[in-house]
Amino acid sequence: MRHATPWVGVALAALALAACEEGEPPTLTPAPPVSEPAPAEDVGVGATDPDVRPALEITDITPGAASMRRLTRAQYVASVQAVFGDDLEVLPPTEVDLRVDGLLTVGARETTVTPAGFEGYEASARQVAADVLARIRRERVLSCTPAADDARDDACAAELVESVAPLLLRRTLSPEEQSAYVALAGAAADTLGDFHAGLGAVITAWLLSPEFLFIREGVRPGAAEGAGGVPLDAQSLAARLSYFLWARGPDRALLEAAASGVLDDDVGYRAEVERLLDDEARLEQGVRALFTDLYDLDELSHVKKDPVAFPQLTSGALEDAREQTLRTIVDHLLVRGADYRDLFTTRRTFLTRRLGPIYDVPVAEDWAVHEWRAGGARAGILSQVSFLALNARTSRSSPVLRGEFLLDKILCQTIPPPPADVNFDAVAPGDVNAPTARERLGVHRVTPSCAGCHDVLDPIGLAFENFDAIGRFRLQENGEDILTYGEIQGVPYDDVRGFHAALRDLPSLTQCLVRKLYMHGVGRLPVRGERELLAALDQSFAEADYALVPLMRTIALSHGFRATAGPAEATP
Amino acid sequence: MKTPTGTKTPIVLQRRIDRRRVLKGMLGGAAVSVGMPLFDCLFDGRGEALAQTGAIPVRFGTWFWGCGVNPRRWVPAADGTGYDTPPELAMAVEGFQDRISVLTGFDTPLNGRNNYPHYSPPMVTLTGDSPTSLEHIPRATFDVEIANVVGTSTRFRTLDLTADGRQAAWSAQGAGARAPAMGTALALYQRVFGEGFQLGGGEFVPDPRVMVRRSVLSAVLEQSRRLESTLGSADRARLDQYYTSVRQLENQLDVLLTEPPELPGCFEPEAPREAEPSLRLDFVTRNHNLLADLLAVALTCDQTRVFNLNLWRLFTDVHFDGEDVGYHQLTHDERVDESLGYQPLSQRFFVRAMECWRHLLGALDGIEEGDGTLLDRVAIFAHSGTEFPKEHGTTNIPMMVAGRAGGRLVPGRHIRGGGSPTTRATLTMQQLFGVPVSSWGTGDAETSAPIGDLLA
Repeated sequence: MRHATPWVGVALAALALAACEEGEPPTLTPAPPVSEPAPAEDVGVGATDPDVRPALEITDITPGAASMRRLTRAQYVASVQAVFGDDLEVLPPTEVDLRVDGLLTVGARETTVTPAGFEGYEASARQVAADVLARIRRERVLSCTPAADDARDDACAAELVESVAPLLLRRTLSPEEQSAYVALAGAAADTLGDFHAGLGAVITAWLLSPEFLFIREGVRPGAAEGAGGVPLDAQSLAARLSYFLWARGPDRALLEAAASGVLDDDVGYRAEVERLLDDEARLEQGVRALFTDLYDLDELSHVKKDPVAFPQLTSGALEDAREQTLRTIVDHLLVRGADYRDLFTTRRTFLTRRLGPIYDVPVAEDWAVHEWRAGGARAGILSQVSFLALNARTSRSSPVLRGEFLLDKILCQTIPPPPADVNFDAVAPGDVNAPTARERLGVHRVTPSCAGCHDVLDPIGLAFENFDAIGRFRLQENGEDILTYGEIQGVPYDDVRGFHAALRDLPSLTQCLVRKLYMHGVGRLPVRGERELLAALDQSFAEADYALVPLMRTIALSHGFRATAGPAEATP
Repeated sequence: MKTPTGTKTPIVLQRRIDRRRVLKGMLGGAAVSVGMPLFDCLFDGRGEALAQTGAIPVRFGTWFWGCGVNPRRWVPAADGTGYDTPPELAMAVEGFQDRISVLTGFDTPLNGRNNYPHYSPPMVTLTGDSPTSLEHIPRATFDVEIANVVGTSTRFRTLDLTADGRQAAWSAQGAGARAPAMGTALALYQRVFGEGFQLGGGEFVPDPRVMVRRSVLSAVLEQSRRLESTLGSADRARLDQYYTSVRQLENQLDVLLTEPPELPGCFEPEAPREAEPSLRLDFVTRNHNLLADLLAVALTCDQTRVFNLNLWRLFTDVHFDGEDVGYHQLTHDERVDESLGYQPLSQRFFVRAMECWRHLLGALDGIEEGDGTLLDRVAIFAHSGTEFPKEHGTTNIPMMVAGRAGGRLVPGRHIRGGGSPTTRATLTMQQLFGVPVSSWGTGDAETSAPIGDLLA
């Protein structure tokens, strides 16, 4: 194995680790590229090595361990709809998702099924079964007509078992397993005197199966562990690929490719990757799911603002705000195949009449293309209501939340927790009631244990102070002019427009997306043995002019995506 | 709401709910007798003991409020019974002082880890160890251990409730297994009093649909075995948690397939109106009180014997209408008015929090059970996430224990911890409810010293 890329953070190198103590303030650190302790010279997301091998030639890496992942709430709904139709209303599970390193799809390898959560799954499964088998839509899943509606019909039930079970359990079933489900359907039909209720019982059973609720990851039978780990078995690889690109379970063709051995062959696997990437509608769903997770857009449904101060921010407007960001992303990255970095400066977006009052723009037609004026404060997704309202308080903007989001989500910098036992009254009397946030936040800068982080965090958030708690533009706060100057990683700016330009050119911007996208694909943090691969993916992203789809392709084809170090073992 | 005879009566929202008329109407005015000692009640089978002997179970609950107290206005000067009540403590115990013990001077050692403000202290208290991040749960929370002992025969082993609409509870089965919570009164109503709720006393016919649901779970368990062989030990542990969850639902369905006992005081309340969760203070407090009212009925109907009720989260943004700073932010921004000795704006939230606490106690105290009230047959462990929220401290964490637990608790005392860990309180609660544990917690939070002064 070649020597790994030295992770020399450009301007980030100045942000060295320090203890969180008075007089020795805590500081921000670039997120380590690996989940194990990094060597001393490794400081995180950094410049690429010009000598690094192409990503697809790196096969001698040591990948991370395999671990089953519980479906996130969004994946659960999408997985059910993938089988029974996107128009099916699915009761979301009650189970709580977990974000790890910013991604629910990574936290999914830690979450399990709780008793109350399982109760929610059962309620949802029974509702799905009832709706799927309702008279008006049952023929969409049932190719046969039972001999009688009020009695068992094993032959007809067997057709459903054969066609639907593999899609939900993401594998082929043995004849014995199929027979067991037919028997369950028959027994339930006997008890209830209802053929379709019997089928409802088996659909419920599949939706409650751990093979549905968890995305299993196993290794190819008989494969010996070598320098590059062991390959995933074909069914696990199919599931990983499908959830990565489509955010839903494998379709019938992908399952058949897995069962027939096509996926074990490099040419066959490449063909399936291309087929999935060519399906524009499903790929869009996958990209929407990725950025919803990456930017916490799922949290927008929980945003609560003061209805007295912000009557225009209705729940409908919040839905539109999420959709605006997703449409901007899909248009920019998929439809136009544009440079990821320009997502933060583009003037092109989409508006609705409900968003119009917030942006102070008349909107005649929902989702019409809108171009912000050149040289204005609005540009890129960070000037949209979604980011600005999500990262604010109920009634006030929050430079701290906005700065934290940007550093953590967009630039992959780790932020330590705030210090304990600091009474702001004692160290900075007087200015917490100042008219502008810049003055109010002065308390952070005179408190040594706070300043280490906030000297970096606050200026970033303050760049967005021309936007209030819901994203409306303003020039003053409490009668005082708002100043938005600052610097990010050594690059000064005068206002949010300058900030966007500075952000666009930071190397850590693209490196962070590579890291997050890889984590999203493999469902875990990168490990030390994948450092060179990540550096190569950075390189590959640059060579593709920072276009998203080529990066997704390269990740899907990479050895790290297709192999594993074996099953994860419990820590004592 | 439906009384046992089927009449509908709306839930009463006043602080003290008087359901005694319902009870007395049922029993012809006679008090229910209590003939069994506590621990016989704890382990009885559902229905049999209750119906045949009149034994009343003892229940356990936790109550959490974010943003702590002002210690200068909370800690009594005197120890033991008849403790003095500084202003904030007075708000917490007014009308119930003889049934609330106050615990001060208990700390949450972090075992050398970072203090995640507001989060680390309750994690230490609830799990016995300090978290490694704001999402991390070191291990199962102690209420789960209690529910595993006292909650096995009820329909719901535990009920997790949040008044600010948040969907995640404090309670967790372990890392990655935080319980989902019900955030509105309607959600609680639908889960407990909706499908499957049965009043005893009528003709009982097992529902064949429930039988089929039960057989589905058996099939799921049977077919799941195939998966086990392919997993590493970490995933097998997660699969075990999955199995546990399936079995708890099996137990729940078994309860539905068993003739329900006719329980004095149990009735079917009317459904609350649907409400969109909000962080408006008026909504949160009203929602809390509705949850408390419904919870009291759920306990009376023996639907559960364990509950966790969270008023508002750690960094709560709960706010007054028209004000631009929420409670948590205000506790940091607002200076202490030295002439008053407290933060006057922040104090308004605390006042409302303690009103909610007393509403919960009043709801339980408004239901007669045996020779006392429901409040006499519970132990409620109340705690917060920090001491003085302005400072994010980890010492002197405010805690209270309310109720008599059927005579096992001697309430109404002020007990000082002298810097010992809060885990002493949670160890005491576990032992009170029969969890076989002599030592609990990790590192500096480990203790084998229950708080003897709490117990009879």
